[in-house]
Amino acid sequence: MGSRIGTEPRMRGAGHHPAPDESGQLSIDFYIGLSIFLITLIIASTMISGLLVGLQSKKIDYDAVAYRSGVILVEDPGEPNTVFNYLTINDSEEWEFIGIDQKRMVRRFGLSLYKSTPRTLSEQKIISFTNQTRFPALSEYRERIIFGSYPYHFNITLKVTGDPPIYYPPVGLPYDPNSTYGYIRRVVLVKNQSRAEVNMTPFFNNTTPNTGKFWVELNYNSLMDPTRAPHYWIEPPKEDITINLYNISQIRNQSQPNRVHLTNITIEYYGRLWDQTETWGELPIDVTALVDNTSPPVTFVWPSGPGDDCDVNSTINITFPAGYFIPPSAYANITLIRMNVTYYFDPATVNISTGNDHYDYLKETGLSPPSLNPAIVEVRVW
Amino acid sequence: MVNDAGQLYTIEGVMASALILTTVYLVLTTTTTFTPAETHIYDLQLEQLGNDVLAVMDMAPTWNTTESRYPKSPLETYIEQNQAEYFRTNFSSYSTATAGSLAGYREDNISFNAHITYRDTTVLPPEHDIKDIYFSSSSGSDNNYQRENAVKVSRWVNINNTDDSHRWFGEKRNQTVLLEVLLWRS
Repeated sequence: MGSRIGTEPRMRGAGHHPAPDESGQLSIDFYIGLSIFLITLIIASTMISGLLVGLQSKKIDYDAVAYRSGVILVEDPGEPNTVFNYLTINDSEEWEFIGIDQKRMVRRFGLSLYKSTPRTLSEQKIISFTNQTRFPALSEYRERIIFGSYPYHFNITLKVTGDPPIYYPPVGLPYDPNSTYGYIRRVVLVKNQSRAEVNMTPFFNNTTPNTGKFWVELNYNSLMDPTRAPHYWIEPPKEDITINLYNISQIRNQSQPNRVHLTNITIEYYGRLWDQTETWGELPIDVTALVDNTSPPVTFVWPSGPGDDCDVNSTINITFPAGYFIPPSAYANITLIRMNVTYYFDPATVNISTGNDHYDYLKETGLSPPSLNPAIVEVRVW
Repeated sequence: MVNDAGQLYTIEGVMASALILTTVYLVLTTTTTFTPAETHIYDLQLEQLGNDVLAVMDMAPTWNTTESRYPKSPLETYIEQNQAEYFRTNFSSYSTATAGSLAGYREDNISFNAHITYRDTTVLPPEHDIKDIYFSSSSGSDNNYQRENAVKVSRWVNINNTDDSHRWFGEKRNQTVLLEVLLWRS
């Protein structure tokens, strides 16, 4: 096989008798060519394998996975997340508000406020992310933040700098500081929640008859002013809103002996329907207010009843938790313009100025606007 | 009839198959493990950290409605008013802080050297009108960098240099200067 027997033989030497022929041995230039080829092949293969041996380390993969998870955590808002600048949101449109029963809907964790605000994290998202009652299994984190088919071990820690610093519960497994792991550290900002301290003294007017009504206005157009960066917005649906009225004794009706009497608290909304017609009403609520810093707090439920009316000596403190202002689905077709947290006092016990009877959240003194605090995020993968 | 030609063709065939087998073997064993060289990862981590710290420092912590439409970031104030010491303290603490709360967690060791590059239009060509000055460093002096493996991060910073009471470099005008920070682990 492979020989040329059967084709015309090359005849060398004289005559037709088959004499032994020296050309059966390989020629010298073939030897040279073969040697050069083999030497080149051996050198080349040695070089190539040597080039690749150093890249087969697992450490590189761990570092890459840690980096990727770090980027998703601090530069991505997660999924689902509402579109930018969409004021009326639904529970299921923001992953941090999806409860334990529907947690399958959370597809990816990400802590930034919006896609356009990398490195600025939402406090509420950090709280939901580190809530290991909601996400008890390691695999629930792995499939939403680490990804990949290999079951990586991981540890994610987060600290907000300050005095004292705030430590959030670490996510993942404890790690051995002396072992080898993939690592990334990110420096970020965490936006904390706003709070209004309302001094009631300026709202007193001794001469005017009054309705006993005082309200704190949350105007969505100024809270989410499009000329400011979203880092500085106050977004009532997604953040805690704290309102503390103090010096309430200053609005007492001086001509009678009784203390100021609070009869009800409601939330009025003003909004726009799809066809741009304006609409307003009162939201069904369940408000818990701490009066005069005394436990137990009093509750007001609308529309089922006026709730616990009570005498007030100095302060009424209400914290609306993040997610409180997400309107019930019956109101989902209304684009909110503003909301008024309205306090009804017994008109006989107070004298509130009729021209100056409300406080504009964001615009007036006493507000602590949201501030951005430096924080450290560390991701370890092994 | 004995013929010499057959030997050569057999060896060629063997060689060709060896060549093909070697090539196939090399291709199959190498393609799946191609990743960037390992040493670059440490540089990347340091560079990411430096850029994060500059971005965090270049963001105003709050924005009141009573304030102007452009709240100043700490970094702008540090450069405008030559607060190199504040820059040093904050840059060091943000870049070395770790997130652990338990015993055994340690702060990182990172050194830096920061320079500012700006344009001086009072210097007419052909002289250089791009100038470079030392701003701050982890040791407090300019000559703290020898030859460690370092990375450089930079950020363009807007400064208002119209107030003579604290202007310390450049011309009396608003300008954007380039802050460059050399970072290394020490």
